[in-house]
Amino acid sequence: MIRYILIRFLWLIPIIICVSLIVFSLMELAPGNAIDAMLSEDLTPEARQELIRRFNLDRPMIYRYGVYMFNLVQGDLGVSDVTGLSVWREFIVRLPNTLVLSFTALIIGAAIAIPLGIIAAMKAGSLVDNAVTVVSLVGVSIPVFWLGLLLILAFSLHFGWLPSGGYEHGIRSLLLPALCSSFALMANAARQTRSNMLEVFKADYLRTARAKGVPERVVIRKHALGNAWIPIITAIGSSLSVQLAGSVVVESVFAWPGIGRLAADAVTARDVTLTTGVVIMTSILYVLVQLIVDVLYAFVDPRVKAQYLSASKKRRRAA
Amino acid sequence: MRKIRKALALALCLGMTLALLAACGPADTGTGTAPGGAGTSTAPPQQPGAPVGTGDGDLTEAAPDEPDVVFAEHIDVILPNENFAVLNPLSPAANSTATDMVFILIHDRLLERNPDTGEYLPALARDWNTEDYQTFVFNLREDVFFHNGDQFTAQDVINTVELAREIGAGSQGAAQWAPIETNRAIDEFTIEIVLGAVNVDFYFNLTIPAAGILNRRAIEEDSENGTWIGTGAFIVTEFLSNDLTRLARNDNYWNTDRNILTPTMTIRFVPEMGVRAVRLQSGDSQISFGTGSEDIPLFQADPEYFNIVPHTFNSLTGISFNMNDPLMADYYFRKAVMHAANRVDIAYFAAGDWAMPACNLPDGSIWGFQTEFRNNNIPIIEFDQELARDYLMRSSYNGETIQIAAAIATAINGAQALQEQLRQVGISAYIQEMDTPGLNAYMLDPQGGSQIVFHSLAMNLSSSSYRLAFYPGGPQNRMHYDNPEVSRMLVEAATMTDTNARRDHFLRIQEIVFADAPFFNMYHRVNPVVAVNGLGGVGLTAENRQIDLREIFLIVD
Amino acid sequence: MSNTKANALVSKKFKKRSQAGEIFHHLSKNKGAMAGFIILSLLVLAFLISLFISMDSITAMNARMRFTGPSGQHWFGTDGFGRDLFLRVIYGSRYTLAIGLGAVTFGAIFGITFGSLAGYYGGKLEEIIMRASDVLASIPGILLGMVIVTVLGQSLQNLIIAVGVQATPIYLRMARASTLTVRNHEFVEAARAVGLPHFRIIFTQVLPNGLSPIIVTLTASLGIAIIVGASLSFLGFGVPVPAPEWGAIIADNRAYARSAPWLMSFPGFFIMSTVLAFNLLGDGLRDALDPKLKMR
Repeated sequence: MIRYILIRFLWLIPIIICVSLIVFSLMELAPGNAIDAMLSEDLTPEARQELIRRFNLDRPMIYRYGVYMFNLVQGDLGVSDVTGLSVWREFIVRLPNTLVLSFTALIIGAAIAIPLGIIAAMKAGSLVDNAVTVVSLVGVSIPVFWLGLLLILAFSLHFGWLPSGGYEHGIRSLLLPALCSSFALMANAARQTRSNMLEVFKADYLRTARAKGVPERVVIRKHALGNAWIPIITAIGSSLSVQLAGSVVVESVFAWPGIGRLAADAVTARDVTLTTGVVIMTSILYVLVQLIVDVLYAFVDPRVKAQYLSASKKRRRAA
Repeated sequence: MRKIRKALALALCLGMTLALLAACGPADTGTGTAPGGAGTSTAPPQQPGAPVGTGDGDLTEAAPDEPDVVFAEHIDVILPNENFAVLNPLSPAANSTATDMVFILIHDRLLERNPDTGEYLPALARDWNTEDYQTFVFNLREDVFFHNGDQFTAQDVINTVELAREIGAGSQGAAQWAPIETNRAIDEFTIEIVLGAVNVDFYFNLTIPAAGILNRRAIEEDSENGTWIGTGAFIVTEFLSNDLTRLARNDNYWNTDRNILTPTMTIRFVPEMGVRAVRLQSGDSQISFGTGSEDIPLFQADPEYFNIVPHTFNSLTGISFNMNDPLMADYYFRKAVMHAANRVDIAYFAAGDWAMPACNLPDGSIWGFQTEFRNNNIPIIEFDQELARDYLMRSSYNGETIQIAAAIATAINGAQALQEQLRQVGISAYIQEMDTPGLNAYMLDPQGGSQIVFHSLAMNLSSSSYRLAFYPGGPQNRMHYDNPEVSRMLVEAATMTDTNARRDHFLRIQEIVFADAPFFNMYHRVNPVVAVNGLGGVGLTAENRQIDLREIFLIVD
Repeated sequence: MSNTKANALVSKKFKKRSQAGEIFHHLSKNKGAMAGFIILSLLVLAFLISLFISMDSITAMNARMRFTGPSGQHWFGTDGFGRDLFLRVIYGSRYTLAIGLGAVTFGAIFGITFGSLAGYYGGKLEEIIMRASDVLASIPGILLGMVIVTVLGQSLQNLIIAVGVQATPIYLRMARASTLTVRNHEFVEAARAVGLPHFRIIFTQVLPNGLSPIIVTLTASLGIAIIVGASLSFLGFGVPVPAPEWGAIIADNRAYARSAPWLMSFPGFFIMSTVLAFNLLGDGLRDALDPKLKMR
């Protein structure tokens, strides 16, 4: 297991290289560069030439990428092309905001979705089930930005309970954006839970357990949930990575200074260094989350765990 | 069917819309000519010469000098819809009204300028003089300290000029210092500056917010945040790029003439337009420079609480024809487009009541805003579809679909209106939507580029800034306009110390550019500034880069 | 000889039809799926009607009719250009359908193929595919979409690509996960023992039996794709104006959410209904396709 985790960590290296190459070259291919984004009435042709030299834009892209990677190997993400501020600092200042938002959204989402999904599956076909289904379907169907504006109109303006954005009011600032970004997650997780529970309910071993007279509560907790976990974890795990990657839309609507908005601003400013740096950091986060999900996977699914075990045994034998 | 509907709609809404018609030409197809004159809509844009409006109240009035007035401890400001990337006047990214607004608060300049009279006022320089507009001597104040405790001396001016050369390439700040050839400190508080060439706009340069004096020690200690250190009325306590900055009053501010009444301020960028309105309404923010025209009715409905001031400034939106394109190089085609375009409708579609059609000015000048060098005798290009069709017949247009490029939302709206109006005279067009850097790259590409660009000419009030629009290779020259005579006169004008001769030059340039017709003016943007009642002390001028919040106050009791 | 071949063909066809018929039979019993089916039929109807609407009639502007509310003359009111919103929304159905279907097809072709290969073969191939997928997935989706649209330029097909690319890793993971759960079942092992070629096993044994989660994901993500497209429009990376894509209508008019609420409500409602319809149908299909349900 530890060996497996180590290998996954080593996999980060090619991932970082690939991600940086993809993002760097895409950003380079985009029409316009950082200078065009900064174009002001005072940018004379001479100053422009000087900036082109400063950004090495008079050299081929591979040179710039080489310089970038050279610094990256030394652990230096560089400074933003546009602002000259340290990419690492810009990222690390915003990371807690995004983490807090993502985890709050995740907790709200899972806390509501999983019980709902289980109840719906237990009473499949009933009014409760239909209500959960419809509500979660509508939840998936609402565009986030529309929902965000509605939430602001309702809770900030009409009732005046919560601030409309920013992050300086602590938990009160957090509630609306977290609720907004948990909505789609909630709906997805509820659907996923319900459909997996339904599938498991049909399984023979549950019928056996029920036939043996095991109480329904225990059946669900021990047997059904144990097997339905896997896809639910997958769903929540991938939702979390999406959240961590930064919900640009939610962060924009709620003026939440997270890494999603940082990256989006960097793209519109053609800030190659900042964009690449932020995406690299995000992809590292993503891989870590996926790793945690996979490890959990192994713990809840004995079959997968057995696979890992047998694989490591084989390796040991070979060695 | 559509026509019947349209006719019905016209009949129904004629009364209602008379109020909305501002104008200089026929307002819409088939309705005949509407008389000229300013509109009487809810928020009439200001006429030139009185650039700053006074809406229901007055944002610009000074604080009342009464002992029992209580001022707010904190004011939350929403920035205009522009980038707010960095608080460094020597960074090319600091190029927006938003950053300039903060520079005025945290840095001081050698000179300031009275926006109404154009007179230069003392700031860090007590007095100044020049004989030939090439060698200048400034006597500096002796009682000024930076936020880090250093005393301000002549050496700091020299340091700022050096820093601009070292790290300021392409920045607004460096551009203001660029004409300087040498400078030397005559004594600790006297400095002599020698320019490379005669430059009559140098004083103006020194009043630009990005030309604030920086502290070299602070920048060397902390290259990222050192540029925050100035001598200004406010001290930066926190800055988050493209998000917000928090400021605290500088209690040791040298300028005791100024009434710095607000202890702390937060100046923030709010990405979503609708949320800006909500912030004002819920009391989270007290003043917004970035409210969309569509939200203004909400505030107009609440005059007890809100105060809306139209801020008209020197920004001219219009279309540039790419003169490198064979079809756009055809004079008759350009004239066809110009006569086919109804500026009143375009302005209205682009920004509702919050754009002033360029034809509302007494002339059709390509010269942006009212300046002393503006040529007021240039005729207006009338909206005339018949004439447009005539010109089109004489042009080399062969039914091809032409491209209109646009980047920002109001320009895209305006471009859609133009597209539709061109369709009515038989020109088909499609809109190339881009983001700003894409558009800039696209336009400055000498080989390619769009055929027509719908954009704003961003200028300051100094006449020489027009050089950048009409000089070959200038960053605002999106038409690839290159007329040697204009280029020569633009270069000459900057060195002319005789104001009358200079004015003649600029008037002549405008005539030539008008005759060449590479650019067609559409409208001036009018920015609605919304504030809660009781807020005042805001300095607004026709120069959009000079919004002065130093004396802002909010009466709470 | 030829006769037996023909017979075989006929029986094969017949068998297929009966399978489809069975699925439809299941669907028709599912109220939700039928509701989804009806909404989608209306959408197709809207698409057919839109074929008779000329582009001119949805771009013609009228300064006097700005922001008029819903009325007998303009069912859905008019927008800031005085354009009839009803015509625009009807016309916009084609864009929304194209984005949803196009992006999901794009993503599914790549995702399912590579995902099932990875799940079935395992080992090195799986590692490579999954790492490649990780690379793609680890780039924030919306951001990747923004970059792709920025590089390729704003147009309908580029928006489809941008939405499709970011959906690919999701399908890939899903396809792999369901292949994983199936690949060690007896029937797959039996097929292997019989010596069937791997490709055939994947497409005849593994995929169909791991299909139900994929179907649910695909149909649900038709809706998600539409929403992602709308989000890209919201951020200014959508179909260029004046194309009346629903997401773009919402995005262009979001500032009028309070002064002219119909401008966001109608296209928003259409998006929601469409997404809902796809989801309902997906759920119905899932129930109909579920082999364990059939066993019951």
